Amino acid sequence: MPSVDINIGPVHPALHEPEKFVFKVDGEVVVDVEPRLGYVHRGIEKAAGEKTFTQAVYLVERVCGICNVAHTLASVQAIERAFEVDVPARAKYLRTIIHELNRLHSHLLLLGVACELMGFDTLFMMLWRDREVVMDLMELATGNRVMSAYNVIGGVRRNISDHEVSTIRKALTSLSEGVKRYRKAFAEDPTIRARCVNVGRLSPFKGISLGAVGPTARGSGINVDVRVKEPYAAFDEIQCTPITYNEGDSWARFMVRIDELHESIRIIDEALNKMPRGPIRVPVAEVAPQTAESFSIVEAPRGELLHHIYVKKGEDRPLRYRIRTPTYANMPALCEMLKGGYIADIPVTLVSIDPCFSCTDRLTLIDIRSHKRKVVRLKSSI
Amino acid sequence: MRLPSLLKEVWKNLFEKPATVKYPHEKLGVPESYRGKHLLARSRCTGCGLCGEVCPASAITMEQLGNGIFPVIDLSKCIFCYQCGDACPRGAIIRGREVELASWSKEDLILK
Repeated sequence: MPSVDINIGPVHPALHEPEKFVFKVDGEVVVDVEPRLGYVHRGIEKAAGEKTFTQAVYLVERVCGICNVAHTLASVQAIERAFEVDVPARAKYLRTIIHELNRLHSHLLLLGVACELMGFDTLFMMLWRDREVVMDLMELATGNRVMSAYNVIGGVRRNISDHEVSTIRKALTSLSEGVKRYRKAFAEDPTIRARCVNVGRLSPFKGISLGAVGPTARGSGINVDVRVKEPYAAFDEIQCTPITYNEGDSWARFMVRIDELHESIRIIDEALNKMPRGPIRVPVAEVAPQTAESFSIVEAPRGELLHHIYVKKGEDRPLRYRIRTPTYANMPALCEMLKGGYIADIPVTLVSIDPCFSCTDRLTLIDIRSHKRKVVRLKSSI
Repeated sequence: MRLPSLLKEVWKNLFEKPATVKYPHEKLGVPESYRGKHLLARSRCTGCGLCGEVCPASAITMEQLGNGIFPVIDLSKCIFCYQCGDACPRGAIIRGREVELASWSKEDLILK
C-alpha cells in the first residue's frame, strides 16, 4: 500500500516552535520522516562576527533562552582559550554552580512539558511549581530569572555571599525531596509508563552511528558526558557520574533527566563546599593578542554544545563564529526513533529529545534555479 | 490496583495555600541582586561615552543635556545586561530594582 504524507507544522499545537515535519504514514504507522529545518534561522553566527567579543557573548546567550548559561560558558571559554587567559578558581566554581542550576531548570521544564503532552497535567503543574524554586535561585545568584548574563570573558559577573550559599542549600534540599517523589511517579505511574515505555526506541548502535548526544544518547546506554570525558570549568575537581539507561525508549530518556536532577543538586552542593575564596574576574584585553582558532565543548542540558571561533591579531571582533547545538546533532536520531512508531506517539517521542529548534537552524545554501542544497564548510566561508 | 503515588500530594494541595500570587494586588518582589531599571548618577558622569560603546543592544546614545554630554538609555532596546555599568569607570550607572516598566508610549521608556 502506498504511504500517505502528513504535514505537521510549521505551526502546530504539539510543537512549541515553528518546525515542519513530513510524516509518511502507512495506516497508523510512521514509515519515514522528513524534517524541514530553518524557520527560525536568525543569522546569529554572522551577527556575532560583527560584534566585539564582549558583545558577542550577550548575543550568543540569546541563541537559546533556556540553556543560555551553557551558551555563554562555551563562548567565554572559547574566547579565553584563544586569548590564553587563566580564569580564577572561584570563578570556575561559580560558573559550574550556575551551569548546573540552569540544567535543573531546563530539565524540570522539559519534564513538565513532556507530562503536559502526555495529558498528565497534574504532574506538569507540580514540576513547574518546583521549577520556580530554581528560577528564584537563578534570580538571587545572577540578577535575572532567565537571561543570567553571568559568565563574562575572564570570570563571572557576581560573587555569591555566604548568606546566599545557605539560601541555595536550603532551597535545593527541599527541591531534592520533591524530585524524589517525581522520580517515583515517572518510574511507576501506569499512565506515564503506558505512554512512554517502548515508545521511540533508539538502539545503542544507531545512537552512536547517527551521532546522538546528551540525555538522548545516555538513554540508549551510550556513556557520553562532556563533564566527565572533557572536564571544563570546575568539573576536573568535582566528581560527576554520567547517568545511563539501557532501555533506549522515551521513558529511559526522561529517567536520565530526572536522575540528572539529583546529580546536579549533588554537584552544586559539592561545588558550594569546595569553592575557594579569591578573585572572581581577571581583566582581559579587548583585542585579540594573537591570531588563533579555538573551540570549547560544554554539556548543555540537551547534550554537547560546541562553540568554535577564529580570531585575528589586533581585531576586536571574531573573524568567524560557529555554533553546533545539541538538538541539531540529535535530529537524525530523532527521525530514526519516529520510524515504525504510531502517529499518536509522535509528540512524546519528539519531546523526549528535548528539542530546541531555535538553536538548531543553521546555514544551508539553496540554489533557487536548480533547488540544489549545499552545505558550506567553515573554512571556505571565512 | 495500586494507587498512584502522587495522589497524596494532590489531596494535600486542596488544603494548601496556592503556589501562585494574584500579581497586581500582591507582589513577590525581586532580590537585592536584580538587574532592573538603571539609576543614572549624572554628578559622577564625565560623558566619556564608554557605556554607549560597549552596549550590545545599541540602546545608549550620548546627548547634550543641560551643560554636559550624558548617556540616554532607551529601555525599549535595553537587554538589562548591565555591561554599561561594568564599563563605566566612575560608577555612574547604578543597578536599580524597578521591574514594572510597561508603558503606553515609547517616549516614557527613554531614560535620561
